[in-house]
Amino acid sequence: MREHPPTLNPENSAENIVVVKESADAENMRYKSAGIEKSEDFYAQREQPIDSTTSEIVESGGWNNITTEEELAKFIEPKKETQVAGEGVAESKKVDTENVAEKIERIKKAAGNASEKQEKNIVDSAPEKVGKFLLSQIENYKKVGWKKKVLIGGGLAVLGITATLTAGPMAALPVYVASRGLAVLGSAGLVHGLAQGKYEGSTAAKKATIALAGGAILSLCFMSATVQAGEWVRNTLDTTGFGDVPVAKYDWVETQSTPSVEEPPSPSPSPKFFYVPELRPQAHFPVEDGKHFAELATSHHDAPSHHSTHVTHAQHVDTEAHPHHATPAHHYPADYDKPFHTEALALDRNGVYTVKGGDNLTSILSRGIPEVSGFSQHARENVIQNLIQKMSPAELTSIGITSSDVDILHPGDHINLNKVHELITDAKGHGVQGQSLIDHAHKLFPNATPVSVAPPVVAPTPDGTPSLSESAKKLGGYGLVAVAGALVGRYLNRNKKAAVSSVVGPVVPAVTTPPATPPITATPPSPVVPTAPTQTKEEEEKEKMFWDIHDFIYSDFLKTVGGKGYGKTINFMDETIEKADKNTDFASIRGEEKKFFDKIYQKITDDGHKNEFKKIVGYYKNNNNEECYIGVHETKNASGASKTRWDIYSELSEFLVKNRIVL
Amino acid sequence: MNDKQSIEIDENAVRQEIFGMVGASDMPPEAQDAVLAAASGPILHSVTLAVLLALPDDVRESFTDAIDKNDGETIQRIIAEHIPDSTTFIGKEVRKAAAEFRKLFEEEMKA
Repeated sequence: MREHPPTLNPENSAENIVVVKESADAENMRYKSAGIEKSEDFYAQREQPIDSTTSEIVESGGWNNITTEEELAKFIEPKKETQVAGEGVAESKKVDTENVAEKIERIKKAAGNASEKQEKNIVDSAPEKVGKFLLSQIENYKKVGWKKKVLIGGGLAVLGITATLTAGPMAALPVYVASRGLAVLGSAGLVHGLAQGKYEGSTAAKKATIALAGGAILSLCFMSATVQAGEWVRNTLDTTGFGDVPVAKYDWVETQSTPSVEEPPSPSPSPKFFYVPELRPQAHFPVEDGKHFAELATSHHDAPSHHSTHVTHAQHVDTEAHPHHATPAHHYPADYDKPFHTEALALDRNGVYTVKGGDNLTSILSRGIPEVSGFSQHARENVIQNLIQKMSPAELTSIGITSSDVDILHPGDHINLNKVHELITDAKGHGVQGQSLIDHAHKLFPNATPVSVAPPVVAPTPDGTPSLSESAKKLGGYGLVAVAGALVGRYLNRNKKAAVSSVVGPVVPAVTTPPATPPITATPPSPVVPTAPTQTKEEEEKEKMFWDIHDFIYSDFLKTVGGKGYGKTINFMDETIEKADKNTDFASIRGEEKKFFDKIYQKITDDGHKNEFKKIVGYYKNNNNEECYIGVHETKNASGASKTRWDIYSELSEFLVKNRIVL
Repeated sequence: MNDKQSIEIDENAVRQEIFGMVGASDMPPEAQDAVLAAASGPILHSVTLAVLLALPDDVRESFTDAIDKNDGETIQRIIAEHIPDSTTFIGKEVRKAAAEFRKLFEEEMKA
């Protein structure tokens, strides 16, 4: 028990040292008795002469709460400029803070060394053939940037992320997909392990083992590039013993993500550690996910930026700049695993793009390289991540990456997309197995559609106004593509090739509204001339329906929902939601999303399809015996798991199309 | 206390458990991330090795091929077919690998 705060003598720092040192000793004993070794630096910091900072800690009782060097630094760092004990003390504190940083670096180095030693032991202990295989996996692992591993951070998420990168030709899955996707999967293993009833009452150690095993299995299994919209995830969870758990109980907690644009250092870095997963399908849509986070980062920089602001703005752009029937066909994918829209970048006449807040290299290259933009998501990421891995520092510099870390772009950096184009079409220096990265990706992903022509149509945005799809993606992120992709894909699949030709037509580069200045192409143009389809009346109706649904998804749904939480299981939705909320912690449709759903509900029931609606969204009676739609336990998808937003919106969309219900 | 709260508490407990396993219990968050990231590779490779050694010889190649080909379904199937109680098995291997990492890590810290 700490004694009453000591009376400090500002004239005699030595006396004060004794007081604090005694307290620190007691504190240190607590660590040592717990078997926790702390560095001498840490102890030394607690023995600094008392100044106003230390006094404040003692007087506030805060000392009891300081258990890490970081927490100690929090007290010290902000007080630098208000030291009362003079420059000497301020300098001393600066050194202290540096010591903390040095300590962290030392930990990182030691961890890295330990990791290398253990990897070597693993290979050495393995039979020769197995050892060779493991060695190749380990070499792949080394290609993953340390900083990325650290920044992505978070318990099993990290295990899942980095582990996955070691298991197989991860060129097939981009680092970003793996990191974000596996973050979810790893955490899914964790939380599912925790939540599953049969493990209730287990010790934390038991749960951790279960969770780790789940994370490891999931990591091993994530290599499939054919994951289908979360179904695979659920199946995996089922087969690994973590399935059949109401995942809706967990909220997605935004954790520290890899910033696409360097952020100013935080005075008190305190990343949250755990991804609390939604089993959402965004593993398919890494760029959008990335953009989602990039958007968050941008919002951080550009406060008071807010989703709702962007929503309004996006709608504005949609209406004015892109009358929907004139929107370019290539915006709309035939399936979510097939090519989908990428927005052309504003390049200068030399094919150079100037980095803006929220950009990351992957998104820039995706949008700026025509061959890549014509690919499916996986194929694009394959090309880009292969390229990043193969570029030398000099080449990185030549394309405008001035940072040693390709994850860090600075606003104002100039990315030379002409140079990038040369690299990805080069079969020798940067190719894979004698093929250019483009050809290689196409081979890996048969659905990839190389755009033989597709010069990047430059869409100047002199006023910085985001384009429709850029804004929409910021709003909707992966969810936008997921839902729209599923919708369009199902629709087109049902109507086969006729619909594809009549509605989508050949994949062609973006045709935007006339720019203020003549477009500048990054590569010599050799445009594909789309063949004008001859439409029957039926096809015209289908096309109209297509656009109606498109507007419904893009304008109404994303405007209201903002693309978040697609993987979450929906619990309740109807006019009794307020009452339902009082009886559950898990109601997850509120506010604008509820209004949106009300609109669907009203429209569908007006058309006499109430029963179908209830079948899709589920039916539930709350504790007040009131009807609630979308009952988590009442609705199951094809794999037997509770339906998610993904499931429900997809089914609703399909239902609307099928029954020709236009909102 | 409702379920949601109890899950959150459990998560914290498990988090501490995991950090403890790799020797990062009492470190600043950034350092904990770094340690966990460093541990993840060897842990997964240890698990991979353990799984490979537990598989019959004639299945090993299929397993490595499946990993190389990103064939998650085959990976799952092989594990399920050839490793009884795979969750426990892998969980134990994870613990063993984490303990080994911790030992090496602590040695490095003392060096």
